[in-house]
Amino acid sequence: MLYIRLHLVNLWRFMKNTLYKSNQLIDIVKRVPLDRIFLTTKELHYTYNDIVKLSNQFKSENPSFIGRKCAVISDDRESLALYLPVFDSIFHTILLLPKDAVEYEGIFLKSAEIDYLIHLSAGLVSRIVAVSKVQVEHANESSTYILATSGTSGVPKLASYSLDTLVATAKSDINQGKNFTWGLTYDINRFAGLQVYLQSISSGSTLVIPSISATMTELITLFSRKSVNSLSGTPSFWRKLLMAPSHGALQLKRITLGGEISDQSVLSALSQRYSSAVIVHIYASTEAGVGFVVKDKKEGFPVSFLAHKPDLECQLKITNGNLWIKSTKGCSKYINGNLDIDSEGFLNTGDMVKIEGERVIFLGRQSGAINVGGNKVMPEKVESILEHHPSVAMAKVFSKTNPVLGSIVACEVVVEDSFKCLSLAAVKRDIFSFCKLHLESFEVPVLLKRVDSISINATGKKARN
Amino acid sequence: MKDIILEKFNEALEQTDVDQRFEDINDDQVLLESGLDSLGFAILVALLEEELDLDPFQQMKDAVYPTTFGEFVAIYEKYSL
Repeated sequence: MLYIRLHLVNLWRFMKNTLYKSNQLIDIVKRVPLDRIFLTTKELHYTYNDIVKLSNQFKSENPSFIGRKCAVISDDRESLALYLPVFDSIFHTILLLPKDAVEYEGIFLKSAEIDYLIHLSAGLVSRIVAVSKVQVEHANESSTYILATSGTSGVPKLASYSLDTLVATAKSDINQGKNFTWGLTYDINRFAGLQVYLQSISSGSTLVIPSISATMTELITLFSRKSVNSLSGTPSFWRKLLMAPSHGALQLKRITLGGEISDQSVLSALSQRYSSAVIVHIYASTEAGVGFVVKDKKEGFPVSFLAHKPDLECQLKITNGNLWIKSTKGCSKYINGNLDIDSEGFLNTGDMVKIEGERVIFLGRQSGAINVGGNKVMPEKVESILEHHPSVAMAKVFSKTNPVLGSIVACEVVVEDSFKCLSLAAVKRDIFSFCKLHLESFEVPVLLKRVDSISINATGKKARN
Repeated sequence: MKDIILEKFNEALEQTDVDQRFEDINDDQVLLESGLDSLGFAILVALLEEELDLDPFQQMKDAVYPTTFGEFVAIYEKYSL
């Protein structure tokens, strides 16, 4: 009898800790011992109980928000981290607005049928603006999150997810979770940052949030002081961290890489430096969600991942050199566009791959987009700026592999006859200065080569590799 | 080698709109505190590859990320032989 009772208690604990399904983020927060630290910055900290209290207060002050749709824009990361469970507990839908997409704000609010726009600053709600005249209360199902894709050209797409989908891959053992402290290196309004945030909450861990303006040395000092042992970042973030003399101060148990192609150099360097850490690189995108995780510390992924196993949550195939993915954890729909999905339900990731022996290796984007340390650059945009410069007759922009940022922007230009008397150095200086006026710093070409001609293919487009 | 790196270092500073220029850099200068950011280092390595036809980081068996100017120069000296 005692055995059965113990068994039942263990089963209940197991279900509570690992099989928990929740409709609202605040339900996940309430599972955690309330005196545990939820988030901490250099100066402040909040317990899980602080979040529950904040949520109750906001709910009682704003009953008219129940079931409505809101968009949130935050001046800093910690304010959003603090208020996300609060808004999730009352609103039906939360659109996380990136700060760098202000020009599309109106389009986003309209296409996602947003009722309220909420501004956050310094840990407070600084402004709430009603943006729709007709407000409809939506049924209380699993909360919906809308994220903007990091657009390469045109209006960024809005991808919609249910909370259940977003936390599907998160570990949820709150007993184990007390042993993990996560450092945040991403914005929470981007997919990778939201994943780290939700992982930390799901397992009742502490999230350490550095100031956006913190240098790498300041970030390491804060993470080390707060005993951060789990960290997720882009390969470019990790390379920069390894260049900081103080990186040895971090005692890391779990290292995650994502957002760019993880090359063997950075994986090897991390496994040498943090030999006892679990190191994984994640294949994820705003569209596909978390696709798969590679744990063997090698670049690419094993060809065995391509084997057709209908019971898997994530299936992969290669068609015409592109990786296609079928995942139950992807976004449910685009609000303002169509997903490229085939008749079998596979989504085109737009990532070009090749098989080398037993490994599938990533080659870059089908669109030609260049990933400069996690920032996407469209060659056509840069070419258009270059070709506006009086000395440039024609330009071709392409990616060049780089050990610091993964890739950089390089270009070839055909110089107008009247400028051919100038030295290459003078041409370069003038063109780069011009580009800096019209492009983001990571979009400005680093290398420039003067050529006599640029080849055009049969369809009249510049030949790209 | 050090002179070439110094020249390209100043070029990378110029390309990233940093006013500072170096006539010399001490070996113990911490790279991340030298005025170049990640993009600046990416530019520096790309400019050196253009000049020397050498990217030592691609050739390394065991990846090493230098933390000081002296370590950075030593890597280029080792792989240029």
